Amino acid sequence: MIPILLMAIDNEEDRRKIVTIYEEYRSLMLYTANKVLSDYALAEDAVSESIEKLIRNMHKVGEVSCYKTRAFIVIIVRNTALNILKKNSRMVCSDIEEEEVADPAPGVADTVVDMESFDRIVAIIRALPDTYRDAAVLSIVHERSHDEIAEILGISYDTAKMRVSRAKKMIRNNLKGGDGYA
Amino acid sequence: MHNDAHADISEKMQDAILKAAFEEAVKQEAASCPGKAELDQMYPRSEIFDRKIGKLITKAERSQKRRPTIQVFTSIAASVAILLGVGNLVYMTTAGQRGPVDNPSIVSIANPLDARVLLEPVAFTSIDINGQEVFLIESAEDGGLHVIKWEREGETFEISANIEIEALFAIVESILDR
Repeated sequence: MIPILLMAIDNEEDRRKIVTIYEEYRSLMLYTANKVLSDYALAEDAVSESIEKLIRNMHKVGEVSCYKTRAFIVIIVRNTALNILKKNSRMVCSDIEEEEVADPAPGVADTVVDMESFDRIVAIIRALPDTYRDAAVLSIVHERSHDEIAEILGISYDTAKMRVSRAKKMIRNNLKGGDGYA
Repeated sequence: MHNDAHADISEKMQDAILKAAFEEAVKQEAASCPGKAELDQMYPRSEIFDRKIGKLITKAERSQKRRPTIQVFTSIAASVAILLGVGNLVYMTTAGQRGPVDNPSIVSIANPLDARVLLEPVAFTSIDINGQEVFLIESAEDGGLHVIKWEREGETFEISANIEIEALFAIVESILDR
């Protein structure tokens, strides 16, 4: 009963938006969930849960046919599916997840970026584990607060903060010794 | 001071580069995914699943509509609260502009102030009647009054009366049968 009471569609525009999102991204959502769960029935459950999350976060969704919205939806579905997988396999989060990591010191003196090093950063980002990348994408691309990230991903505030921080740290560590950035 | 300013600019640049790189990574990830047509083929539409999602959306709308019950009924003052037969059986749509319900037994317009008193529900029960989900407001402030609420084709309907709940259900059933 509580989840139903918490989610609400405020107006006709939101209703149209969520219907359009479902129409446009239905198969992508199922594909994303199924990639994690390898089970069609569970993938459907993950999509249903994700739709509920999207309804609750409608105010954060911009234009439907936009790569940012697409990424936002994929992140929600992927993490909902991961949570289902964890729940079903009684997977225990690793201790590393709970470990608090301080933000690395921001004092980078010089920044020199050419196309090659930019591509390298992109490749490093793409190679990040999904959980870290998703948190960082929500923080950096979607400019969400740690509170919002925690709500969207179904994790604690501390874990959200830690994932964003760790993603940035991983990028910096990967770049160490290389050319350009950092 | 100069060094601080330099560090600040450097940090801002770094953040901007990081943001651009993340945006590029997101675009690349999207491009590496199969296209919509291919995905639609891999995951064809399922009527059952579509209905499930439709229900979720409708429920989300309904929970929003439930909150401002009093305002809804104030707005009904000039609209389509309709009396069925004698007594105080009220059948209405929640949107003021909607036309009268197709029901030959509609005889007159209800007193909207009466309807307002009726709408202070303390509990909802969801019941299925003829395949339609209806909500019974089990009790109201006004003694033996019962209110039943349901939705059909995107419109919300309510019926309320100071009669036995079974009798009220029978009326709803006959309406939903049409």
